[in-house]
Amino acid sequence: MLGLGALAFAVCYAILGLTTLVVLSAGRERAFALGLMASQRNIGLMVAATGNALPELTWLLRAMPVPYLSLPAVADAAGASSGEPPALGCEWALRWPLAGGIRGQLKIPALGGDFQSAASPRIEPVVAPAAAPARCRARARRRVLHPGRIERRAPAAIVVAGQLKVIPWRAMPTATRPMPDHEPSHERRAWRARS
Amino acid sequence: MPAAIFLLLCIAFLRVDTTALRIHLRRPGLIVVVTAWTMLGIPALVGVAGFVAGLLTRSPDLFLALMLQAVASPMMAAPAFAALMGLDATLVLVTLVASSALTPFTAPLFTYVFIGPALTLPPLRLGMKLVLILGGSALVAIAIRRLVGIAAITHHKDRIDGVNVLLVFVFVGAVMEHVAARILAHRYSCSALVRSRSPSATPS
Repeated sequence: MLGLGALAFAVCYAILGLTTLVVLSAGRERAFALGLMASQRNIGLMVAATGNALPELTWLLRAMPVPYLSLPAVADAAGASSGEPPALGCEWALRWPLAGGIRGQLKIPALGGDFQSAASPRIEPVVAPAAAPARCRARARRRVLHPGRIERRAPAAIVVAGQLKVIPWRAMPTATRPMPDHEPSHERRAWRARS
Repeated sequence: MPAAIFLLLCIAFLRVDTTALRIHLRRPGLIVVVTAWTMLGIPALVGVAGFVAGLLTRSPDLFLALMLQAVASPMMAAPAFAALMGLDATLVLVTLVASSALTPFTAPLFTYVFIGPALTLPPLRLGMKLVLILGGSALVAIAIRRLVGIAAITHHKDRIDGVNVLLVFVFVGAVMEHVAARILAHRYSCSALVRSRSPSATPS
């Protein structure tokens, strides 16, 4: 039993290492991803295809999926993993206990594999709250909606509620007068005919 | 169990991102190399290594298990694993689909060359079964995608996940059928192993 377990580990890691070496020219991360794929074989498919034609020892080796579970830790140790949770556009989260670099909550759709699309082949990491892109977005919003841009002055340090004035909008609501090019087509045609 | 595998494959194919497939297939060089290595290189390497080591005569059952592992297509969850580690999941997905398409042709060839009569199932029948399982599940998945639409599949993602988990449970239960008996037969060595690896026994 122990020997079989050791063999399962050895075969898994040997295929992982060899495949990574074969495609190393494609880049370290991609080579590791492909090695990972090559080392994880669809046991169930072959078992289903061969049916009851397998002897007991073969069944036992088939029941050794443990090496796969250790691969994230290997990825982390090898430095191939980005260590950041990937953005997969999913709703629920889980923790990956084995990977040292992936300690936070990961948002994944399912282990079955529902992947981010497509427009970008590389799956981008989830942006953490303190990450640079989030700060950039926040800065852009502050720039656009900063009171200095709208009220032409710095915001007041103290606001006295009793002295606040309500100033009505002078613009007419779009329900009574639509924006240019938003009016109904028959009105537009009539306007063009008049002009 | 074959039904569980078929349904699991259906769900996996249901979620294949066809747009990503098309994008990667425009530059297929790397995919062709990796697919050839995965489906031809590795089985040949394992077969030759087993043959040289004399596994065919010393332990034919073990050699059969190793060869079946080598000729099998990659696991359908491999892209999800890659994504969990922050690796390029789409590349893995495309290579996985290409390898799965080759499996019905390469698996019978290698089982015929290296295993021979050790596998009671004839290679041609093995190939036909693989075509039926892989092709059938892919066709069912395509039909569901056409009938239901991607939006509905995305909407019912959690329910599909739940069905997936139940199917995996059925599959793992069937695969682990003989393991419990083995552990009970070697309960002393197994418990010693567990005790030796438990945190309290591990020196800090």
